[in-house]
Amino acid sequence: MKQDSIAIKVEGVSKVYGKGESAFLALNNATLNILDNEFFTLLGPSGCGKTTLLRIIAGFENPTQGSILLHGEDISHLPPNLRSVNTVFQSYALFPHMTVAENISFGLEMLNKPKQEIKKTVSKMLSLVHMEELKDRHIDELSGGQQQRVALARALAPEPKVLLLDESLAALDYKLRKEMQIELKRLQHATGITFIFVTHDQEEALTMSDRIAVINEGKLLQVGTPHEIYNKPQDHFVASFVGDTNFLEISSASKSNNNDEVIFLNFNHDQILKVPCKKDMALNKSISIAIRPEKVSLIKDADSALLAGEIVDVSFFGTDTHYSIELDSSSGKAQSFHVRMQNASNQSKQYVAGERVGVIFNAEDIQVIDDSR
Amino acid sequence: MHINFLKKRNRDRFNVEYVPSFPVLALICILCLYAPMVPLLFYSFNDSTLLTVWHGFSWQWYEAAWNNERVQEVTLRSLGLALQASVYSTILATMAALATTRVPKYRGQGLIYAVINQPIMVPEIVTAVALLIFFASIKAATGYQGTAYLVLAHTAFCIPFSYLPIRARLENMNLSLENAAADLYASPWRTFKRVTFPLLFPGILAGAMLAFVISLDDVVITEFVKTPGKDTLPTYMLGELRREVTPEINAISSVLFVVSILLVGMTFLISSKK
Amino acid sequence: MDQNIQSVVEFPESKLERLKAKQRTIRNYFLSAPALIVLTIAASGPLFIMLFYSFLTADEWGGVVWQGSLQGWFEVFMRHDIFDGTLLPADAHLSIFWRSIKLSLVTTLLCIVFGFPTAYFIATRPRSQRSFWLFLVTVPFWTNLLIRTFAIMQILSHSGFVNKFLQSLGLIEEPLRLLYTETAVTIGMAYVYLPLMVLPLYATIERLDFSLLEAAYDLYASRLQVLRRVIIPLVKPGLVAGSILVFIPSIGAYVTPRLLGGGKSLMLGNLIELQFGQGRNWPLGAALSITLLVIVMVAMLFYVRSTSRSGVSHAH
Repeated sequence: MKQDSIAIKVEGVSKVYGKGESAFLALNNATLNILDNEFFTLLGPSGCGKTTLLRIIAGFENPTQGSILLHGEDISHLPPNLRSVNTVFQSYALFPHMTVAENISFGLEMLNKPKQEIKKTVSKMLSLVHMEELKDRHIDELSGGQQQRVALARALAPEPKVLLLDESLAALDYKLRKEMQIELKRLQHATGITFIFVTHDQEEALTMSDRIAVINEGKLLQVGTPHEIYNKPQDHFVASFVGDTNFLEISSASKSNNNDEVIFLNFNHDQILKVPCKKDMALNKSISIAIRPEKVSLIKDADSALLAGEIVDVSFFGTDTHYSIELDSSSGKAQSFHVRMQNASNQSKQYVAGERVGVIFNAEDIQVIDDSR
Repeated sequence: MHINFLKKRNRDRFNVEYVPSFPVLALICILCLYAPMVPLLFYSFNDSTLLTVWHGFSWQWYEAAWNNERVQEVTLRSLGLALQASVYSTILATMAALATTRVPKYRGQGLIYAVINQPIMVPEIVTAVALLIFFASIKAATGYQGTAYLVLAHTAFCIPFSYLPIRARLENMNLSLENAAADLYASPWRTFKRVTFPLLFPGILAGAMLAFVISLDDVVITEFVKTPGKDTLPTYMLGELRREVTPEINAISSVLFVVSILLVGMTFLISSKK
Repeated sequence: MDQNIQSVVEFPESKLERLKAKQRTIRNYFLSAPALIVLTIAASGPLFIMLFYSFLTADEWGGVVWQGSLQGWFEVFMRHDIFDGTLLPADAHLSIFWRSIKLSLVTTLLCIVFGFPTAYFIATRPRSQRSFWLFLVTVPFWTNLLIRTFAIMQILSHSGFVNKFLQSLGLIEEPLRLLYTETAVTIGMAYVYLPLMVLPLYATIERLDFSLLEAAYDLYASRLQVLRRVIIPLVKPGLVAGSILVFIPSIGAYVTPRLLGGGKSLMLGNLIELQFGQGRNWPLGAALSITLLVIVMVAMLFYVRSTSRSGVSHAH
């Protein structure tokens, strides 16, 4: 694979607010590389530190520790007006006393670009976001979606090296959001500029990103492609935050050798599944595994399945049916399990609440969760 | 978040609000607002009749002012006048505010605002002169020479000053509270007494205090409307300032200054307790 | 069914609702009437009477004679040369007009130069501190005009603080003549009216969306450019309101020029007062007052035009 160049290097960045007893650690030693021409998403719940990281990259906050490099240059303490990084703010922050065209040309004027060049670039930007006819309108005459596009055009006009987007789709209604998601991808490809996108919506992150970084409570938990994040979550939080997951405690497991990267999990009726794991994974307590509801199937014959239980709830969702199952438990503790089966397969119509069923799934769909990190 | 107000860059964040030179100019300005008062206060304790050469500490001027019968007379007159003006103007302003706030547009709205705010929009000297002319002709016609002219004039120009805080408070009040009261069978008067008035009270109080101070401080209109010989404290002081000034004026000024501080302090405390 | 719809369209409100609305309007008129009556009698009404008086003849001992005359208005702008009776402009009056406008504009400018940073400073303090700074600015506002003017008189006097300070630094030998000059009047007015600029400006700046400043910095603006291109245009309503609140009392100032200007720096207010004192020319005084009012209204017109122009689609 070609070695892509790194646009932003975040090195050991920590951010502390306040002092002494009331000190709050917003970011805890975050390190990551964001590549050129990449659509990169920072994903996490509210207050997790993703916006803090974005603001540190933009220059509005200074890291308490660590550094930010832009194409190799240390910009950690550079003021925002000296960084070749532009932001699309959550509230758009469009200048209300200027027209659309004047907003878009603002950055170029500040950079003292010649008038002709500014005119050309502004026209280019207007057509890029399909706002040509509205160029002389005032900001408060625009709809939310139009304001969003002006904010984008304004931030892209000075051709920054990196574009930051702070939950910019949060204020839009559902349909508009979907449209804008496609629009943003298109813009990123058209301009070739690295987009760093912040959101708490995991579905949005999965749809739009080349790579995602999942953050929680100031810590960077996992960085990877949408596929990797979804299918191979490395951590309890990542598994539960992104998509629906079932968590199971497997009390009986073994390894051939302690250093093996494979673990053998024991299920009902002496069925054993071989699953990859971390080299130094300990066996002294039960193993947590995660498996997605859509990767699980039900069979009538409870006795020959990996797990067995009773259907507690059946919900019909048009394209699929969701089952809530209470698994048999030797320890007496109830474990609920969710199964999602596509209605197209016709299998799903056969099961009703109260019925006893068997649960089956494949070894490659199991993800071992190691929370000891 | 801590903000270092003088440094343009602190280590924590980029100071978005900082504008070069503004903090310094602001501090100089605030200092200059108070600096002239310092010698004034200082020399009120001067043990001599001079205002600029220090001779020693003395309470004599405060005593002199306290015992000065003329000062007593004008002070009482000022206080009485301010009290009346403040009460009347606040009552009228409250009624007017209730009538003009939170209502859909009505005919003559612009005109009514113009009339209510006229004392602020028209220079005092113009009003003073107009009142002089008007009252002179009434005096000539009726021979009435009493204090009613002054009370009327003060009440009038205090109305907009009571009106503004009351209106501001009223606008921020939730109409649904009164609707709820009406829904619970309260008559308009009882709604006012039990719901509107208590909520409006801080605004009314602020308006009354502002009107009191405005009336107490008035010089120009009072100077033109007053009956000769019957001064208020400000017109008395104006007369004294045009003549030989002794530190007695400093003493009176210092007392008034302290009173202002107390009144403003009280207003701030009341509004912060909301 | 069609008929039901039609009746709804023709009589959208029920009769009861319309009656209630009408009652409310009547009630409102009654409520506001007392205030309006008082103001009309003791504020607005007399202005018209004054206008009427400006067209009467002056009586020798003060007051008026009930005889129509344009003499008052004439004397506002013109005079007859005492020797040969030729028509000349009333330079004494005109120079006073000019001085009043000039000093008021300078005062307004001074108040902007010092008041704007002050208001901005207060508005950018942490919330908990703001009351304190506002308190500091409000106290002079509630302090008697005479006291504050007197304080300036003392500072600028021969043996006052300014002179003593300059002498102690060795910059001057003899005390400067600071009092009884136009400069003293300007300083006095700026000192007295400064809070009137700061308070409305503060109210406007406080509502400023600082994320707009962030956006400007993000787009490579320098500190000065942000001030010029973002902050000032957005607080313009406050600047205009403050300017009006300073200009109006300045141009009609009476006490301050009287105490700080002496006889040499008369302003319009003093000139007017003169006609009702020694001048004994009530119609002239009335005419001058109306002139002052006109100047003020012209200034207000500027205010209204500038706020409506910049805020095309802004709701107030």
